[in-house]
Amino acid sequence: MNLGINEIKEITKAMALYPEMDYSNFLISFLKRRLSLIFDKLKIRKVDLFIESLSDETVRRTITDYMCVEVTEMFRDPAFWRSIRSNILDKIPDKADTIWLPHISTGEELFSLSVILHESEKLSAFKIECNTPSKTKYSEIITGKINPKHFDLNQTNYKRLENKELFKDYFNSKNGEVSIKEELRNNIKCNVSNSFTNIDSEANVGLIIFRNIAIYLNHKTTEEIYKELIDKLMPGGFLAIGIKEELPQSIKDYLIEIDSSEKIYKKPQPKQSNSYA
Amino acid sequence: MPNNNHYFKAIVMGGSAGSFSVISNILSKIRPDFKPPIILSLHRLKHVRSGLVEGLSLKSKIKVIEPNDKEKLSYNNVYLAPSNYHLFIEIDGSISLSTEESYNHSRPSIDYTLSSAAYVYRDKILGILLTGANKDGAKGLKDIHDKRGFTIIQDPSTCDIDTMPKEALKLFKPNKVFSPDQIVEFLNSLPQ
Repeated sequence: MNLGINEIKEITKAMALYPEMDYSNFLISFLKRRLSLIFDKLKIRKVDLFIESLSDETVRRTITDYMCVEVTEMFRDPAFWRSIRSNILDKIPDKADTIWLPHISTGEELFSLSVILHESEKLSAFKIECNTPSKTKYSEIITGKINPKHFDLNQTNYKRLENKELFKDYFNSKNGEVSIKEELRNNIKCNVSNSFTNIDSEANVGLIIFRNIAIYLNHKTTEEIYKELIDKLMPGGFLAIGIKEELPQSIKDYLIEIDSSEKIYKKPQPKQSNSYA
Repeated sequence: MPNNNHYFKAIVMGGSAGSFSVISNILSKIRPDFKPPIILSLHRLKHVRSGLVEGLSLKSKIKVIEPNDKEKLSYNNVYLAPSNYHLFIEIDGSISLSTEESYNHSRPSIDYTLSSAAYVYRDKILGILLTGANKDGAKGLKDIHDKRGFTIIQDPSTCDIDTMPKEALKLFKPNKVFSPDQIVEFLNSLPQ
């Protein structure tokens, strides 16, 4: 199915009537790819039919699942995780109690963090907050499921990071399903939401991991989201974005660059700070 | 070599096995003032982030960049798709990267890059498909052809592995089938 720009706008407008399906700030090109995929998967050939089918909650759930871009591997970019472990974890402000992963699609980044925290003996020091727009993905995340097809790749990435053979010890495998052990996910708090910036206002956020998510959003929204995330980060806390992402210059000027290759930044203490807005 | 009056807003090249030496050769012989941005989508090891830009830069007459997401294309630069990301061209002439599922077992997928360039630049894009070991790129180059862009396929007899060009030749008749040296000559003959 080859959708035109006007059709994509019409579909996105209809989807946005449902709070969990507001994709109006996503790149048109991303929507074109994802919606074309969904039309094919659902075997729908007409835009009108697609819009009509949105009234069915089951269809909406399926569409939301397909809109999520699966993170295909744990420890994607092993050097990034090495930097988190070596340069960041010990420097998170003492009063911080939360690490936040907004708008995730699957558990791979989350569970990579859990393993790193566990091995650094810091798992109990933080609660990990996250949200996902998909109810299906939420169920998988809270039960610790990862895609078993990628287990070998995950293990290889882990070995590049740690040069150890421990990886499989962190998982249970049963009936073809692979899930991370419960003790590694006890401190994870996940909810279903399409928001990029909502978090418990009481949380003292010491680290935000927001990698390869803003790449699907338009320029203006990306900048607004970064500003909100930084507002919710404690002074002295850290923001990590994808290795091929770039912060808007005004935000980059405000933050302190900690690792230029792995794109990790620190929010300055108030006495050092100038407004980025 | 035909007299060349084509004007292109960008050049997009795809390649897989054996293409590094071909591209390195092209970039070493291209005129230093070559204006249209050149976008490279090459199959590469996904866990090796560095080395390829540096390797191509050694001989290239033009600056080689591995772009960030949302970076604008500009003249006289070569843009190499980063490992483990798909690279797309956007309507506003910027680059978008994606970690969406592999396509043709590849990320970056050559088809994705070429198809997006076809959609944005239509008849103002030159697509070049080089040596390679799978079919990725064939459909993307056909998309350029279908939008009346200009297409060149590396002569299969000059390829280390000719699967990729032959797959494209099965789908459509390109404007040119060239050896690497003829590709250089053609590029250098383009009006700047």
